[in-house]
Amino acid sequence: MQTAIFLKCASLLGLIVSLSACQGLEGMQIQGIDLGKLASAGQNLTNMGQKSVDEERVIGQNTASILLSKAAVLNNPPLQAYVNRVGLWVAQQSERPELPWRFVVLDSSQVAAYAAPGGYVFITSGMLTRMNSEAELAGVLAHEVAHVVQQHHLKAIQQQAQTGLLTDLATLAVQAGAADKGGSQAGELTDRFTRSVSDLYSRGLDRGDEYEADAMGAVIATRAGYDPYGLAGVLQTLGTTRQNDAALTSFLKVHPGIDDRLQRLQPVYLYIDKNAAGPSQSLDARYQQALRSKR
Amino acid sequence: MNKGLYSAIAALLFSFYGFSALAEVRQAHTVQESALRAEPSASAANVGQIGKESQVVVLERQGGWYQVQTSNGQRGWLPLLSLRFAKDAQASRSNDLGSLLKLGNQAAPASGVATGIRGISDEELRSGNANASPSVQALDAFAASPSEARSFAQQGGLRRQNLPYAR
Repeated sequence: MQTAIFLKCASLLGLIVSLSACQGLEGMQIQGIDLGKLASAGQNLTNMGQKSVDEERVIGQNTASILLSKAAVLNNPPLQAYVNRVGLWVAQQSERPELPWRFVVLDSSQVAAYAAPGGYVFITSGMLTRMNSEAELAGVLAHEVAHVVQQHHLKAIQQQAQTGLLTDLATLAVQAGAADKGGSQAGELTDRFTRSVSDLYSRGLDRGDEYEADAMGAVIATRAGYDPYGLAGVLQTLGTTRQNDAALTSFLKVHPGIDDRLQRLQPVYLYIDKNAAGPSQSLDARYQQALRSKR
Repeated sequence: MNKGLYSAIAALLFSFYGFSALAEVRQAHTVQESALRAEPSASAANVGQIGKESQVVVLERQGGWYQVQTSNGQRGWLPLLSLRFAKDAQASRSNDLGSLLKLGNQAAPASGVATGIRGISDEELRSGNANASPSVQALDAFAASPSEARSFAQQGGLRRQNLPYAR
């Protein structure tokens, strides 16, 4: 008796598993269950995965557009192309290689790098000038890539805007974008997205998110074949800059202390030293050459 | 006339490289007690013990190691993470590079008002300056394709490897 019930359940389970390959199941019923409905529920599940990626992209586009309205893009196409190549190679070693990654050098003397949902990564020209090698650049970009992989900014904007569903936040983002282009939607609702984004980028992410991005970034850069110590090298250099250096105040304001970050990276580097294999590159000359490229 | 120009350029280049070379020798202090190694490797011979808060001069970096000279003239290698650099004139050096980077580009942004956040000042975040800001779509022009990224990596001798995250 019990065996019979088990067998029935098992065969039903087998049917459900193979449903994704089935077509034309509408109205077909087995033991009172409408298989057509079940199949379309499965279809919705896979669509939902794609839908949330699309929504993340829309939110990211509008976040990037808000940020771009406050900062100029460095007018140096060869350097922009170089940073995109380093960045994409690094991002391809992450868990989200298929995102349409965009890396942007901003024309600013401040020291900063940050990410936006959906695969946007920004770095200032001021930060580029404080680095010495491609491995250091890769380390910083890998840190930002890790933020995108973990959806740190997406989750923080969502929390800030108090939208329970990603779809609602995406709707807000689209409305904010339309209002920005002169649409008639301007109002408190559209402000909510812009305000949430502004608040997040002036406050910065939680410390825990930064530590996590450091630990993941060092590993991602190592996977890409770079000297794993690029990120630590940049942090050490930034640590040498006087605290009253105006260009650095923003970086220190939104990131945990550099000493603290280096300390927390110690076990990560012990792990990398023990487990990474093969040669790694620093590429100092290629980096210096890219910095000297003119439009 | 031309000769003067060339020597001016030569002087400029020289001062640039001079800066870079100078930056290689830096004062640092240890943040933990460490063994001074003969080579940049944890398995290399121990040539001396360096206490916490010791002053050293950093000569060279190789991966996770710095070659240092101690106050009594001894040379050896210390782990990168055991050192912190002294505050120095890094900022002025980077400004030199910064102006080099922007030659021929738009005017330098106003300096000294950088109260900002991650490259963007609080002020700027509140009241956006919509002028001269490209659309998000314009960023596509700089994007790399996966095959471009691969051949770029190959040119640099970069070889990918599998490495799970540290747990």
